[in-house]
Amino acid sequence: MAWPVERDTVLSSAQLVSEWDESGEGEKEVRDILNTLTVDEGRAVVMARPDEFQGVFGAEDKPLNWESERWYGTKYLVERFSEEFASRVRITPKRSAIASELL
Amino acid sequence: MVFVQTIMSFHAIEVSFPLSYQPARWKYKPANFLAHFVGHEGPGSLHSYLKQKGWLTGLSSGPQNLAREFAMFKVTLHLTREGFCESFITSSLSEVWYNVSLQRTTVMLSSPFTSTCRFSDPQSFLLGIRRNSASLMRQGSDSPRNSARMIMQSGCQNTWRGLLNAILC
Repeated sequence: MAWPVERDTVLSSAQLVSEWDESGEGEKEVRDILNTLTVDEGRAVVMARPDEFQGVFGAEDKPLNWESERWYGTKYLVERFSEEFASRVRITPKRSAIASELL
Repeated sequence: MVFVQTIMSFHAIEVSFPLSYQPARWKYKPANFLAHFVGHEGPGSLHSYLKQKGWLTGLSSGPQNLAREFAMFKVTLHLTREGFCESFITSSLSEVWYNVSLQRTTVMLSSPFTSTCRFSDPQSFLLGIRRNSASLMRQGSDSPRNSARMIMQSGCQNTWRGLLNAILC
């Protein structure tokens, strides 16, 4: 009953999806979300064993500079996306690698 | 980008974006709609591309309700040992954003949940074709429909053909 719906749709509202109609409300909701799925809004968490990180991202003589999270002591490291990466994915590619692969 | 050490031996990337309170969007469920396309595993999908590369073992995508008035849209990629290297991680991440921007720039014809193509709808693939048909035409095919056929030959033809014709006609 915590859902913001009419009494007679309490059971169905979580399961059923409405058809899109002329109002364009359905597509608008989707587009609104799409517009927020940007590299500037998003965050990526990369998970692996410590030795794997060291092998891939660290140099042999230079250990990675891990921080410790305060509740469980989990080791983590935060790094901003490089500006090169961010600007590359900000634009829509003419043709993505996925499409090229299909040719 | 956050690196987190695990105890269990696995490799994964989780990309998350903040979302508004989704129960208010109960009528059209836009986040589930997008999750359907991002997590699609058919030909031309993010999943099939990364898996073909040998980088991926599994991909899932969907909204996650975190608290009242707050949610996240998540895309989780489980990687193979080979997929876990700096350049492949970067490539996989770019493909996530390319997939999203591809959808942002395409014309959506209808909800994927309509009765005719419920839940098995290959629309994301079709949208990709629509978007790319112009460049395909430049490569010697004379019409978008033919270029679509060119692609079809590398995919599973029967499943897609009916819908393709319906959309490209």
